[in-house]
Amino acid sequence: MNIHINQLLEKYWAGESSLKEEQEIKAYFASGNIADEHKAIAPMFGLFSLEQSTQYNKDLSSVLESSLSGESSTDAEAATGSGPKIFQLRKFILAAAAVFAIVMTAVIVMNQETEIVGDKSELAANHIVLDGSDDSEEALRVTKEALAFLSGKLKKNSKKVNSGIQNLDKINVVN
Amino acid sequence: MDLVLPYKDKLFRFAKSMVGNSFDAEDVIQEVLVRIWKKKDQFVEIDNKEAWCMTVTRNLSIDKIRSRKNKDTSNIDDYYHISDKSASPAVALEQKDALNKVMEMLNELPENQRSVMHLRDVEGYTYKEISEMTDLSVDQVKVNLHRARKTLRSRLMNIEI
Repeated sequence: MNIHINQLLEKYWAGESSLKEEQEIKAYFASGNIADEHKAIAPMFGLFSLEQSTQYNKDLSSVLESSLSGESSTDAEAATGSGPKIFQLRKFILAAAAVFAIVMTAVIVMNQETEIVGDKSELAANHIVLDGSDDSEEALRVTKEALAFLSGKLKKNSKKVNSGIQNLDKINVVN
Repeated sequence: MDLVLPYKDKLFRFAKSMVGNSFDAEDVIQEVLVRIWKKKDQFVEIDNKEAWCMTVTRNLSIDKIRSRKNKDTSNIDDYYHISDKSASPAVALEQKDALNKVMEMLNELPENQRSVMHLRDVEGYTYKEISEMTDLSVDQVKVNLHRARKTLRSRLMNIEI
């Protein structure tokens, strides 16, 4: 008998026993007639047997009814204007505003980048024409155009700087 | 709710083995029932309702464990009222201690090992059924079961792994 049970237990520990063999092992430990060498592991099968007899004694319908009535009272609370729904709406508005601000910043930065790149490419085009020219008059004309372009940009920006300085002066006068 | 009635004890035992006490297990069962109620039209269509309910119970039990700071562990007093009353007080105390030790060992097992062991050794499901309930492959189920049993064996018999 012990040899047979030991063989079954070896399979059991290895996770290779069938459900039928496991039933046999459980029946052996439930019989109370356990060999000394198996007494150390008997409580494990005793616990399995105890767990198997545990029952859920509550009525499912009443449990469901009570939990559903609890949920509907929470819904009613939210509908009357208090509770978590308002908090969630506020969070949603904040998140939407943050996303809008990020998108707008990205659009502005992209526009500025495009302007700078456009200016650079215009200068670069002139430079290429100058490099490829063999005629000195043509080279002079292209150089003049490039310088005129630069001076135009300089004038435009110096106006901005001057107006800025004027504003600063005004502030200093006020102070 | 009649569709769940045949498995209610299994669901409760599984939840209890996962969360570690009757109180939280009852909460889990309540949540399972609400989930079934909310999806009642789909639930009727499910082929293996038992496996589906066990999976939901497992997932909700895991949520329950994660939602609390300290993990409760089962106490043998939860079970012992149905134990052998014919034993003498000394023997009964000895039995209770032994069962408590095994329960502690079970609670120390990793979550997958614990649930696989419960589904096999307490509920008697096949490897394939356990695989469906736990989202583990059949091989993973076998490996988890083997490791769980090996750990318990070594601890019960004081063998070094």
